[in-house]
Amino acid sequence: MLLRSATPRTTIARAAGIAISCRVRLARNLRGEKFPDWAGEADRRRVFDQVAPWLAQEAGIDQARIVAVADLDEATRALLRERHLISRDLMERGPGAGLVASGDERVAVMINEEDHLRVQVIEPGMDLRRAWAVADALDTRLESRFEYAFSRKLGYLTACPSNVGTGLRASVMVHLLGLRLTEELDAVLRALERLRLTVRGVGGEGSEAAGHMFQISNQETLGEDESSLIDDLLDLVGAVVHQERNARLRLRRDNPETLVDCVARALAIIQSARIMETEEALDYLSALRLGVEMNLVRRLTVAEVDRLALGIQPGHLQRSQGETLEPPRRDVVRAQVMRDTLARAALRE
Amino acid sequence: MKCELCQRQKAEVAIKQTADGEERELFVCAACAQRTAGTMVTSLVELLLGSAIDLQLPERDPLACPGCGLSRPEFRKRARVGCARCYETFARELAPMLRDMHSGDHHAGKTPAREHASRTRAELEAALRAAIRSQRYEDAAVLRDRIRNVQAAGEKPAPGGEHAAS
Repeated sequence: MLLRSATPRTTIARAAGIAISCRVRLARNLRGEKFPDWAGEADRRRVFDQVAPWLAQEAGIDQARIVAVADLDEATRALLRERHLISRDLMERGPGAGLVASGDERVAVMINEEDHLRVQVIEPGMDLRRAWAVADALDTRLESRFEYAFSRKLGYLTACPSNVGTGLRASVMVHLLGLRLTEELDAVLRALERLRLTVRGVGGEGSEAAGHMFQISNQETLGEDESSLIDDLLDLVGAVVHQERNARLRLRRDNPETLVDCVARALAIIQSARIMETEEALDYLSALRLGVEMNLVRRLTVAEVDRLALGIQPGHLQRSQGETLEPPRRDVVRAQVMRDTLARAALRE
Repeated sequence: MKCELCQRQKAEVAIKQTADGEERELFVCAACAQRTAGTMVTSLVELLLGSAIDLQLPERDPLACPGCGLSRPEFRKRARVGCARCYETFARELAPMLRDMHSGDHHAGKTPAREHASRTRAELEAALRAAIRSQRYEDAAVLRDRIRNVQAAGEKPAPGGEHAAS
């Protein structure tokens, strides 16, 4: 059940490949209500009390659960954040802020984040069209019950003008270690930004790209319809995936020592280290992920690597240990968990 | 917010002030707005000497959004709106922001079903008024019937997708 298990249930764990998972997010606000940041606590509570029960019972969200952020301890907030179910922004909010999520965590609606509603659907791989179809259907049910703030000219009205229009943010999470090793990554990321896409590092404590995971998303939301925005993004992400694949193939052909060294080092350190910080761990797991995908590692699967990459993050680690751990102790426990999990893994000679 | 000139009364209007070639906006009370508008007329001598502060007549823009009370300075600081109505209240400021953020300037995506219905109705009514004004009574009769149809359709329960989300 949501929040109970220490093992991740997200589809991320099941997906393999360069494009790991994708997400569609719709920003929506209720007509006649102040937007959350400018509303008072009573306003936010009223919106939450109106929307959350309806979403949980009437919206067709499978095994829906309501989560009020104010009721959660810090470790649970971190856990939800690590699973990309809530944003950092929502995590820090008080009464009236929360979430309704499906049992498999694929569908989630954040309530009173920057906007009244943030409908989010996560799918494995690059199946953004499916994510959009699910989000669209849920949104249509929502709009038959609640009247949205909508303008004929500007579309769905949002707290930040950067989201008006469709209110759609589509993103794909990609693993780009090959391009990092061939030193082409910066050029690729710069090119994407010139094409008006947003590239952000995922994972770790800060916004840096721990584990060479990047989230690529559309920047503009006004002037094109949802399908065009998604198709354009898919075209460009498809090109990035192609480049990453080529970089990996070139590495194997021209620079096999660089590739094997990167993977072998990561495995050796994980199997020996006694203290391991999250971001360092994610970088080694990123190398192992590449190693498994390129058939350089035995007795390890991509799914296991992904599960570990989530399991060693502070919220998940504390949940699986069943206790609150101070950061220095966490690093020791994390190193131990990683040693245990990867004890049997070995390089393929 | 207090008037930026007298610092006593509540500010109610925005005025534009040009000093040394730089334009800035002041939020002032009605009395000061009147007074400064008067200054502009009476300080012709200063104006001729080139040292005058050119105060224009008060603008019509409200100081705060009538929908949510977000003030203009606060909106500028946050670069976020407080409610849907802010998009009208701060339209002048929002236009360049939107141009920077988006290539398009007009929504082209999904539209809520109820919006379709109300829009059609509003459009039909506008067309009906125009037809009557220009004495096209046959057109007007057709439009009247169509409005009745839309009205009847609007009273039925809204169609909604019944399939599961996941």
